[in-house]
Amino acid sequence: MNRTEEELNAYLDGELNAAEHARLEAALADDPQLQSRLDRLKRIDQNLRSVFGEIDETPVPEAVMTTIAASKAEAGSAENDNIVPLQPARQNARRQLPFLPLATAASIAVAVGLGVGVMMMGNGPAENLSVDLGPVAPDSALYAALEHSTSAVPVEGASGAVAAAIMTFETEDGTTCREFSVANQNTSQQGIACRDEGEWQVQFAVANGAPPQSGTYVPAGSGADALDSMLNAMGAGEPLDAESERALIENGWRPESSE
Amino acid sequence: MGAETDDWHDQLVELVPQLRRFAFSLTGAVHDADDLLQATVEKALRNKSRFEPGTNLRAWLFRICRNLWIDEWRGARGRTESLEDHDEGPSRSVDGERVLSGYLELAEVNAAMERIGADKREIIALVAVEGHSYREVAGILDIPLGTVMSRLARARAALQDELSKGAAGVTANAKGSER
Repeated sequence: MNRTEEELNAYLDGELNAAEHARLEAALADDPQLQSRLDRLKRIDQNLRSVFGEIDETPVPEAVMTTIAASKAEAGSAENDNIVPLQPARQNARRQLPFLPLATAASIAVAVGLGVGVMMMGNGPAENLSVDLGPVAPDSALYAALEHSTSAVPVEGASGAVAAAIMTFETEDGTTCREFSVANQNTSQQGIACRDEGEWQVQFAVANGAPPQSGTYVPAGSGADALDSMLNAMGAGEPLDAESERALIENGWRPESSE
Repeated sequence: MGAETDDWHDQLVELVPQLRRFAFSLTGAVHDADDLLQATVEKALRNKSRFEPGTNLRAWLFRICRNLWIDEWRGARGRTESLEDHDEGPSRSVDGERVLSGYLELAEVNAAMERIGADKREIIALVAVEGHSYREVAGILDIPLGTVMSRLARARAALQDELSKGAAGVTANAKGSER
């Protein structure tokens, strides 16, 4: 590659100093062939920018932005070292819930954490809450929330536990799953349950602030991170809106069919 | 400290579109670009403590992206997909006139970018597409400034060559021979 060619490139990229720039301009004025070489280079560059700029027309994947937002929220709360739970921030960060004002989502998480159970139950013994992996018992509050309620509608059970679906999504293979939270006055847990052959199966559960309880590999991190990783690993799609949720509930969680 | 950290994440957010275009010009396919982007962001967040405050965040991120592409993407999928895209693409009809004056399709550009090789492709992506300064590119690729200049000039010449060959290929194909 000769010197002029490099200079021509540097000129095109605005990398020549004043003296070199002037010299090259003089050469260009003098030499139509050099000028047409420059024009060609310029046109190809424009073309490249336009072709590869087309990706700007498609939205940046939500996962990318939420990964950053989650990290930011985490960095913020780690530094403040306060007791604000990660959960509301993470929900904010991870998903826009179009049908659920974020303030509501946050207040549910907080309200559940703070003891809606007390209000509901008054004097019941405070059981230690534990969501087990596997099928959800049909007489539990969690089952009622998963099976019959749209997201963000809390359901209180006989034992004082309050359960609510947080959102509904489909995995890559078309399984319908819901993120949920269950709490009594002592503990709260989040998890993911999927609808499988007419049953709700808890695939994953994590106590707030505790290590995940799961048979599958989950990268280390807080419970909220683990839940996020799990959702990513499951290939969770966009959350369904309330209307789609209602339709599925009414249809007994069968996708609308032609019958 | 808190403000600084927030700042860092905000800067990252601002740089996402550039990173994404860069990933696209390296991989040539939107879904690969988005995978590469996600991997880049994750790695950047994991290694955040290794970023020296006050240094060039953009260059640091582009470097992560470029290294991931070299290590993981290029061999694995970039190659086959771009070539497939090209072979099956509807736009084989590059004509010489269009190379000189008109608009080139993604498949044509990808095919040419594929043939010139990784070191030329990346430098074109950095300078011609993203408009990085030579100094920044030297930092990202960890090569001397003089090498940036010579490699870039060679890369642009090679790309131009391949694009005209693409044009010649149409004529060759018309005669029944494969490129």
